[in-house]
Amino acid sequence: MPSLLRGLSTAILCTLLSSAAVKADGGVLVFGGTGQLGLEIVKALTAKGEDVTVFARPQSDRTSLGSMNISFVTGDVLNEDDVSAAFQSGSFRVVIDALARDGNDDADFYIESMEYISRAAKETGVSQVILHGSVGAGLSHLSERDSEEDFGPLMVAKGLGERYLMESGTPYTIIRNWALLPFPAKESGQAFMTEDQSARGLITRDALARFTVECLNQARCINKIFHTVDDAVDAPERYRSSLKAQRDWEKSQK
Amino acid sequence: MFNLKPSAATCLALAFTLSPFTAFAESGVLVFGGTGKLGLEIVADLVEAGEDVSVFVRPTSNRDQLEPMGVKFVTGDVLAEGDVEAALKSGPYRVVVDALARDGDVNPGFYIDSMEYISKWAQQTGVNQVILHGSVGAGLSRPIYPEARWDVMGPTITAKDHGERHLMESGAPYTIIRNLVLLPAEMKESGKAEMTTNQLKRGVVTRDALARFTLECLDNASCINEIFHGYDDAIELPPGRYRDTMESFRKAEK
Repeated sequence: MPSLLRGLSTAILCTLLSSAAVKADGGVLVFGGTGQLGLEIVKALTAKGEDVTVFARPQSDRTSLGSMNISFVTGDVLNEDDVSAAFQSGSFRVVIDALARDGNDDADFYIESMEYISRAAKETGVSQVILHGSVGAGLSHLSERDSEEDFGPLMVAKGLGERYLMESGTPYTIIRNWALLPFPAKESGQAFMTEDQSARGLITRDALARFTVECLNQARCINKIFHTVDDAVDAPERYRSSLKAQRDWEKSQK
Repeated sequence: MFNLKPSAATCLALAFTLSPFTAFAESGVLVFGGTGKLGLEIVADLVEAGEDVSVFVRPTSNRDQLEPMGVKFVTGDVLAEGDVEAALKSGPYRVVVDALARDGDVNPGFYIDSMEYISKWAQQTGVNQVILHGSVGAGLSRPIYPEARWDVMGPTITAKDHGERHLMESGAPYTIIRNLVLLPAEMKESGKAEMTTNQLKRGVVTRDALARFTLECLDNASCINEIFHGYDDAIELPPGRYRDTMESFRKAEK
């Protein structure tokens, strides 16, 4: 590229970025806000004074969110028009996806929801989508002991969901968890995120909420995939033993 | 973006600061897989376009067809990260093209490791664009991969998917050009072969068309961070399995 052209294109890019920065005043739209992880995230966001909107199905139980000063937008995440309307309903600078479906029999849910969210985020100029994903998706599949037997189709679906986000062109942050400890487990204070996709660990929802808030508008989190680990957390024996089995398996592969 | 709000002045300063790097724009193209059937077509087109071409080859590779073209050679094994690092550092290169393929029953991990090393060192040495020739079936094109072939090809396609992931996650600007059915090397394109970002597009395609797409995407902003499927719907095929395959794609699309 000729030097003048490169300089010019940089100047144009900068102008675009400057105008995008206007959006830094927009709020945060949360998908999955009525779930256990979503609830922790909404709490952490409101504690920071963020303007929070939760996307919820009409029949969702909102009682746990009731006392918080947040807005709601109603719809079905598997209906693209609903998702698109939600994005148009306000000015959102960050979108958080903490969606989860009980059981492992509806893998396509993770593909379609992410397809619609990513597309709408791109079209409305959202400056960051934070997706709470699962270890076992994407490149982390390569170091997963159990993936084929138990979670094969689910992890493939979650990997494709991540793909939609990564390919959309929207700046993304993916925070994966391997074993989420049952509510109301609390983090040890030593929970951390790593870009090492072979890392496995136990994690709590409050730690994931903390990471979410810490990544908000942070350049160091943009277009990154993190794994989350809390080795010092109090955990039931069955979680400890599955982590040990995974780590023993990793050693045996080396 | 984010906490950074660039002013017009800082933008101009940045634009001029970047200008000296345009030395890179005059730099060459490094081709992996240049001794293969697809790679040869690409190298020939690059040389014809006046590009300064270097080809990464194993010490044992047959260079008979490349030598008359007047290209440079960088020697190494793509599965040895140190060799790939040294090759990228022997530049500067502004574009890297990956047309690697392994015949027959090789370890599919080849596609993961080669792309991991190439992506990482392309990113670290400031390459402007990595063009990867990939396979339909990877990423979001998984649903259109013929199920009958999955038993045999599944591990290879999954490995190619992971290879794409390494590239996309590396931060190096990428262009992925996938093919589903590659026609025999002696066949020439109809002249109407095309690329589409529709990842559900099936088709047959020739190597000369893929080489043309490669050249057309070189330094082309509309190809950056995009995934394409190459196809040639207008090609006349003699009766036989390729024509039958093309017919089956037409039916599937209807």
